[in-house]
Amino acid sequence: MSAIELADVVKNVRDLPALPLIVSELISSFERQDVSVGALADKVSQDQALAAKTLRLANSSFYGLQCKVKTIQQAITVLGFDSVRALVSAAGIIDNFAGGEQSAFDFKAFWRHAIGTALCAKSIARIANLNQDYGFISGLLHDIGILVLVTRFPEQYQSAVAYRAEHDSYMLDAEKAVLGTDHAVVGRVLAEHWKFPPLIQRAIANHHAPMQQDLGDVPSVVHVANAIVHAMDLGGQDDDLVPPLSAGAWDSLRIDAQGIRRIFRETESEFEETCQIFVA
Amino acid sequence: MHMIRKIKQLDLDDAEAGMVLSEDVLDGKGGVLLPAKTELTDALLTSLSRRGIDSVWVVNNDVSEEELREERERVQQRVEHLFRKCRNDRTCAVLLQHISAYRLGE
Repeated sequence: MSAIELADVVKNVRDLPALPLIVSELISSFERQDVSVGALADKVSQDQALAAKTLRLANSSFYGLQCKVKTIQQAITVLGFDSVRALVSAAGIIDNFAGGEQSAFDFKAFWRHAIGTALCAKSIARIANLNQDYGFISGLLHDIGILVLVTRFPEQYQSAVAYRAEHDSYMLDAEKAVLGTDHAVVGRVLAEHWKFPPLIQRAIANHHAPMQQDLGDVPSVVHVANAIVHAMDLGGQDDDLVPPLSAGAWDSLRIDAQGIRRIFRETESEFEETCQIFVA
Repeated sequence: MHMIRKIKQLDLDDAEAGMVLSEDVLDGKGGVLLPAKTELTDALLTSLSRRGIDSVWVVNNDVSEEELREERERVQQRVEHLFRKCRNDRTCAVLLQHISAYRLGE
């Protein structure tokens, strides 16, 4: 029997290694206005690997800067505090979950889908006049529940992957059938445990089924971005599937035909370079 | 899911007189240096190089109509395969339409 009890999930989430302090501080600071910019710059600069990755991103075509930024303080001046905070958080989380140990699970493919969704959500958020940095970080983290399942319940998750291949079903349905739970539920538990801001928690928990309160907001953006990234075939998996799209979420963002083309183009043109920097 | 297109991006060093621009060439500030449909000449290539331009989009004449048609068919089939579980859903059908138009350049 491979079913996973929710209590087991909660226990395993508690046992997960904590996020690096700087990253958890940054994510919980998304909702605060009283954050010291200087203190952020100092802390990030002390972590050389994190600082270097953040600067490479800031200087990539992602932002199209005319001149290169050389320090975190400069990046904050040019890109703004919110964008740098989102970049540092993203780099920190990906490093934390890089995988590494022998596993049948393809971590690289996982992060490529996450990065595609982050870029797409950022682009949608901009066009829908919503917060782009929330879009980016929520898109990046939307499937984080999968990482909990894969790292804490590897054998059970492998059965779910096999079920999905055999039935040509959605991963979400395979998880429900085999594990009795799914990555959206597990993601919600993790997001609560890590005390992510409520909006990011909702984007993770409801990315397959946005609720009334999610319409016209970041969780709907992530729901649509996830579908677009599957539709654009960015993962390149033979048996990939475009998930069902909520009409309410789609309509609530009011994207016209020109907007959707721009979203496709932006997502695609930034994708490879961003992947290379994040999951080198 | 990349497809053969009737346009291609070339390093300025590989661009030749006689090629036709498929997109405007812009300077760093978004100003148009040369409009689309301009036929390149050696003098224009020199002046683009002097302005710091390192690549251009040109009309790709190497693709036959036959190759294009096959490529379009392949892309169309792949898109339909990706949407195999949700194409009856109204909103998915809208997304399918948008992505097909984007991929097939309509």
